[in-house]
Amino acid sequence: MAPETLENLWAKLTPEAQRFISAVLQVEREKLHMVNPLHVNDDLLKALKKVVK
Amino acid sequence: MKLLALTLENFRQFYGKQTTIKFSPSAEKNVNVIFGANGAGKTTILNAFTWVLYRRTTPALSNPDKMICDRTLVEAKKGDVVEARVTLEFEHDGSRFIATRTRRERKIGPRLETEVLDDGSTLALQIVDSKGAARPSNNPDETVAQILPERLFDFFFFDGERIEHLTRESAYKEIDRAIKNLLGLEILERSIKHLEGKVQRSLDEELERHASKETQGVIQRFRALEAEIATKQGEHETARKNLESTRSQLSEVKSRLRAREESAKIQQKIDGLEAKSAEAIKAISDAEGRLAELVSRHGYLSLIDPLIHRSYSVLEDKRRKGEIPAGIKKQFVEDLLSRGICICGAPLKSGTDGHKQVAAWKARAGSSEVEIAATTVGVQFKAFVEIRKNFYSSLDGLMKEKQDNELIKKTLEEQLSQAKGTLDRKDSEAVHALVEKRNALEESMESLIRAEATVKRDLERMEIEKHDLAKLKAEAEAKSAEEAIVRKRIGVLLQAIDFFRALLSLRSSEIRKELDAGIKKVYQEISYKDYWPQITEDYKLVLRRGIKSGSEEVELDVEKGTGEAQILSLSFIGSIVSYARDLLKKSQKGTQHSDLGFTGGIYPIVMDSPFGALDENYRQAVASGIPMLADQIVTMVSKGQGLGIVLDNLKPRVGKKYVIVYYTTKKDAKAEKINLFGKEFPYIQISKDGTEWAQIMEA
Repeated sequence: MAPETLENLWAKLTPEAQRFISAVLQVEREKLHMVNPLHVNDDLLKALKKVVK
Repeated sequence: MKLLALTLENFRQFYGKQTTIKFSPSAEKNVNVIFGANGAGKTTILNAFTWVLYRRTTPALSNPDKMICDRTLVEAKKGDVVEARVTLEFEHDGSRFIATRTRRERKIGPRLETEVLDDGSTLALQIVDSKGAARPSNNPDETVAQILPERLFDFFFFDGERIEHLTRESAYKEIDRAIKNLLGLEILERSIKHLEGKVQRSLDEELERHASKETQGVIQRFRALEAEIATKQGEHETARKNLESTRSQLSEVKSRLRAREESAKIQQKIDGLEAKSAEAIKAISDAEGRLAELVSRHGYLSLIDPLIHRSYSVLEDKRRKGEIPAGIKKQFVEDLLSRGICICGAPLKSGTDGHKQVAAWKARAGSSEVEIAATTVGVQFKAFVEIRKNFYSSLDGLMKEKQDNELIKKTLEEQLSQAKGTLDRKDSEAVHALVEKRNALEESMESLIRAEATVKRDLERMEIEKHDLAKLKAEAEAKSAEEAIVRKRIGVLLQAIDFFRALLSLRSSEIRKELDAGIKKVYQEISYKDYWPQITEDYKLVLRRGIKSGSEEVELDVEKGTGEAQILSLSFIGSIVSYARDLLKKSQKGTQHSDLGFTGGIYPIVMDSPFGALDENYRQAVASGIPMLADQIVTMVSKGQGLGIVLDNLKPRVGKKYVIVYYTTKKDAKAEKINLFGKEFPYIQISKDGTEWAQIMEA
């Protein structure tokens, strides 16, 4: 079996999941180094609801 | 982050506004050296970085609350306000930053008594764009944290003599953290944590409001399982820590046995036998794994053997009797009846004798499907015989491999028992005491390993159940439009969690392998010993060597002295810096997955006294290796540590050099100078005003 790659993993996702993952990374990147990151979970939930309406 | 300049003003022993230390911008001459006598202020300079950026000091700094220079306070009048200030200029991602932190105190007594007006808790940060326009950062602490998080600072700004702690067994968490933080894996871990936590719970609650009773049951079981997993994870962590601590104690006892003249030889023999025994155990486990895979893939062959033989003999019997292949096919007879004309041209009308006679042939005619099946079974039977033959042959091979290794293991265990017995009979109380301790620890290790494995297995089983339950929840039939949409969201969420998990595992393994290769390269360029470093799968930094045991060579962990440990730690930091830099280059070219957070970065290395604890051979090795550790190196050294072989080796790469001139109050002290590349500079001076202070000058 061919070794798993990022491209393979990405290709297996539905378009909604791909959009959601990009949004998750955006939120996490913005808050990664904040001293007191607030509303991370709310922002992630909002992103999911925006992707799957 | 690229350091540009550092200015100290009345900070600790540095009196007044000091000459700005400008760091070399050259890639070829990337080393900056700051010379200073013991106590002159080398550690203070390292702390100027920690204080200006994060308002903290390192453990090596004495009186950490005392920030303002004594001489400045002595000269101030009662009621005067005095300030200590550090300004650091650096570049990051195309912008220039000027960070300033100031502490203000008012003198309230005749000596050094003060009241604090501003403890320096506010960082001022100016951001200067490429056109030179400056603007203050609205959130300076956060901006600095984004450029270099405080928890990673210690990897790049450190006390050189203490850096070897990274090679201790207990440092695996720090190593793991450094790799994950710096190389973009933390973002994946956080994503998993957040999505699996509140986000999933919130969706579950929403679903529960819309869901059927059956689904509600699944959700409740899922939540209970999550709580059980959390408890089990705690148990696993405790078991792992106990195991780690016992392993470390055992390693210490073995090392003491190796260090004693009367037990060294036998202990080395035991080490060799234990390493071989571990190899045999691994070989047994590998063989068992392959056996399990073989049986799960082809084991059915042993069960269906009688069936295949029976089918084959039934078909062969039919073939002998001439029933297959048949002369007339059933389909042909049906076609004649449906057309209503016989092959002789006579009409075949339903109810007539002719029709009845032709229809009777249907029972005797052969089926083409049966004939195709007969041919296929014939071909497959031959393949089946071949596969079964190979299966039994592989089975025998693996069983033999397992038995051979079990025999080796048994022989090694006997030899080990004998060697341990010899050690036990040694006429030395010290050895006896160590042997007893070792026996007790080994016994304890065995039960701890079993306990840890049991908890780990439970945890794995629970994780599988959780995963299955999560899918069950997502797949359950939607009862309403609202439920359907929540389910769809959960489906997308689960896909995202699975993706992040798979990616984290993939990247962790790739990065560990690449760093392992990097650290080997750096270490071998620096060290003159025939050892090789390794980052183990559980993120331990170890040094290995090969020894002859009989006719074979086995690998053993090296007991690291200060020199090896320091070089190993420096190599690790160097490999991280280099990997992060390569990652940045790739992501700027767009060839890496910068959209997934793996952007890398550029980091300097600032070291206080990295040569202090090293002998001459290692000083030379470290001095020649330092320039390649990072794009920018700042090192503080004393005359004793830095002159001679160190400076000779660093010379071609030194871009900037400074001297801390130390003014001592010791009455019988002699003034000293330092000679750098043929020029003399003051090094220790006698203070004329009775206060101890220091001054920075460019050399």
